[in-house]
Amino acid sequence: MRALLWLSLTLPSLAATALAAPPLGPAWSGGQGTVFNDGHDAFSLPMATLSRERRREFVVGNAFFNENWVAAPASTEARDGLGPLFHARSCSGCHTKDGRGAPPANPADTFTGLLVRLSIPGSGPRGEPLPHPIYGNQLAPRALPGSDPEADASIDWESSTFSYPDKSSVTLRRPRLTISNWHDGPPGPDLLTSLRLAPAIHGSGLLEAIPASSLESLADPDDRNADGISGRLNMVWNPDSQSMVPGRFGWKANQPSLRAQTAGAFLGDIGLTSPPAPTEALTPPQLLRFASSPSGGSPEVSARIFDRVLLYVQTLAVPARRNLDNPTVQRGEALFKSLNCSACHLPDISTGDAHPVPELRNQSIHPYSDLLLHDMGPDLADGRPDWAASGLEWRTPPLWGLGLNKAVNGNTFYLHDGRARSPEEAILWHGGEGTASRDAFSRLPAPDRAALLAFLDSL
Amino acid sequence: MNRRAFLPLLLAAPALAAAPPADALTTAKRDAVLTYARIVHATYSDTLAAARHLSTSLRAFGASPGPDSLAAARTAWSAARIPYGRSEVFRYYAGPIDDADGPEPLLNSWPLDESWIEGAQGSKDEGIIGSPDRYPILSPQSIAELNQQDGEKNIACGWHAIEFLLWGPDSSKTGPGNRPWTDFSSAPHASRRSAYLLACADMIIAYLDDLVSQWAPDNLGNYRAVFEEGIDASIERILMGIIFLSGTELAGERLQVAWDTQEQEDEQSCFSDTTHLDLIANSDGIAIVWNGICQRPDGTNISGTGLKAVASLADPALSNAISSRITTLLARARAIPPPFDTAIRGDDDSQGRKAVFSLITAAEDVAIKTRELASALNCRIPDVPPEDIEG
Repeated sequence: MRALLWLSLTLPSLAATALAAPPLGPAWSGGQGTVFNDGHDAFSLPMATLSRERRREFVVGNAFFNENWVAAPASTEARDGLGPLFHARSCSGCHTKDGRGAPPANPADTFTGLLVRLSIPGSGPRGEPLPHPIYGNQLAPRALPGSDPEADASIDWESSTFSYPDKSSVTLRRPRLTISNWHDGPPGPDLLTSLRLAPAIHGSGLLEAIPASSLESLADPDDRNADGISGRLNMVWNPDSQSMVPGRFGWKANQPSLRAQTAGAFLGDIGLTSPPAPTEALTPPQLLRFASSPSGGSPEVSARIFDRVLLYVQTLAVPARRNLDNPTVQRGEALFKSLNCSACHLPDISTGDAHPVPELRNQSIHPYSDLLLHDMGPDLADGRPDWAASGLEWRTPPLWGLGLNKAVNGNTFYLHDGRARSPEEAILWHGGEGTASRDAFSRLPAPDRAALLAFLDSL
Repeated sequence: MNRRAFLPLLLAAPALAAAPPADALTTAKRDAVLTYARIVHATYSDTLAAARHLSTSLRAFGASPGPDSLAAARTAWSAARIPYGRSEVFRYYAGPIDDADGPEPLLNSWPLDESWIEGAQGSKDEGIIGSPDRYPILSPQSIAELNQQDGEKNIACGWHAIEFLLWGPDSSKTGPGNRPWTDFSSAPHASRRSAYLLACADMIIAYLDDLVSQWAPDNLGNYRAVFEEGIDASIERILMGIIFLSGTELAGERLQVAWDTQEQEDEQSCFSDTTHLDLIANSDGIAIVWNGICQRPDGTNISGTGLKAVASLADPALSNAISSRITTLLARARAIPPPFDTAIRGDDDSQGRKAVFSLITAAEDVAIKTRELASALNCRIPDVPPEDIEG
């Protein structure tokens, strides 16, 4: 058995066309390429519309997304170059079944689905966060055999209780991060940290295909419509266009494109160089420490393999919504709108006509996100600026597929650090611009709260 | 009007006129299921016999290493791969070979972790074979445990472990690996290498033995008994085997990935350069199930009702289309110029790459048309092979 490549072969049922797609109804969350699968593989399928040629490339990308990379040199030359410092051995190590990661179950567990971003105060010439001079911009909890990782991270959970006006209550938890055993000495008092849970990645290509102008028109930095919500664009450097563009990916929208995101993840998470990121992400003391560490090629991820993985990430389909006829779900959807959740978790948006992958063009999609930054209040703040995003701001995460997380990953951890164990807990953590909607939710009678959660479960 | 309710009405009228009586189709399905079960049992039995012969040859080689006994062992390995390759069409529906407890990952995984078995050249780590202090016992049990240490894929057992130990790394552009027989006589750890071979063979035999008994006739407690009871569910499984072997495994994992990377590590039987024979055996397995005809090494035949007979009753034109695509598949599998690792290299218009690519499209075509047949038979084929299945 070659590990994990389970793709069905069906001819595309609908050819991608240059014309605007006909409306398909609200179940078709991911446009014409939506797949109808509510099981373990719900996030792992190619878009239904994907051409036979690109389906083949998807197959190869899938193989390299799932297989472990190994230390160089190895007889498996296409798959060597891991590390020397790394977070995981494969993409799927964190994005399990193309879904989300989980925080460590025990304090002693090495981080896998959760990573720690690092920086020091200030910003670089283009506004980028400043990497820590010794430990860089993310913590590597693993290293090749014979070497030590950068440090050991662990989490303790601090509990609190949220009480609804109707006297029922929910136990919440927030993480307390401890980092110890720093390999190259203590990081000093300036260290800034931010926990980031590996997100599910289905539908990413559709988000990439939304025109920048649409995001710009959604932004309302000065809250001119006075609804208490002021979405802001993160502006980040795009090395391909050599310009500042709206960020769209990552918990703080700090990545401009899936090409940059994928290259960054290969480099930072697995320790693999690739054509867009040809140099190992090691700080000067680490370059000395690993001076004799063998390379897995230059770059370690070849251009061809990189392109296949990128295509794979771009064309993972969005699964369809379920239970749209259920009256409780319908009531929940009406509440979602009347509570103004939909102001940021925007249901409807369209892709443009310019994406290089034709199947992503001109699609009416329902991501339930505006991809903008919002102040989410001090309880969620990480205090770590990331390009234009402040320590209080987070990007609205898409909600499509939310009800399938359990089927895909067997767990339901939400928010940037995985503190929420259910959509309800995630709602209750909303502060800042989300305060009014959160309070309105908490004042709902219990059946209405359940209806709103039933709606989320239908996504 | 509800579109779903409307469609069956439209379809019902022509069906009444043209379709055979339902009981003819039911009879054909039942006969096809019974034939399939006989073929599965025969194929696993033939694989088991060949694996036992391999084990005997490995013992003889270990007892008196030499060029002839090594050649005999290699021949026995290659011979056993043929029935095993034909049996792979019995996968992909969570049957005995690959349900949650199925042995498939222990039998046929690759790429092999060569350095895990024997240490990489120039590496301080000498692998399992070179570390008698750490791994004193080489048995099927101990190797199975070492196969996935730390949850990692350190693939160290199965057909390809034996292949690696018999042929050695393939660094030749034109031929297979060329391990000297002295690795089993005068080289360091020679006796452990022999012990490792035998442990792998014993493991394969034990698992095949279990597969044979799961598919043995007249056993009320085994898988076959359940399989023969559930006619429609079993037809569905037979279809899954063809669809996922051709579309997912062959066209995708075994051919497209190798075609795209052009890397030797992406060919299945890379040490012996027999990947082209694996492709032929896989394709033959599909044809055997389709036609319901299986020629056995002992000269006897099974000749019964194939899936083709069911398809011919349900949709004759589609049945012919599938037959013709399987014929193409068989021809194109035989047209791959060996060795496979050379065939995948070079320009896209090289003879080898063109041959591999046309086999990819042939395997895709078989999967696409067989999915159409599944729809015609009202079978529900999942997007991906099921990890578990009810009933």
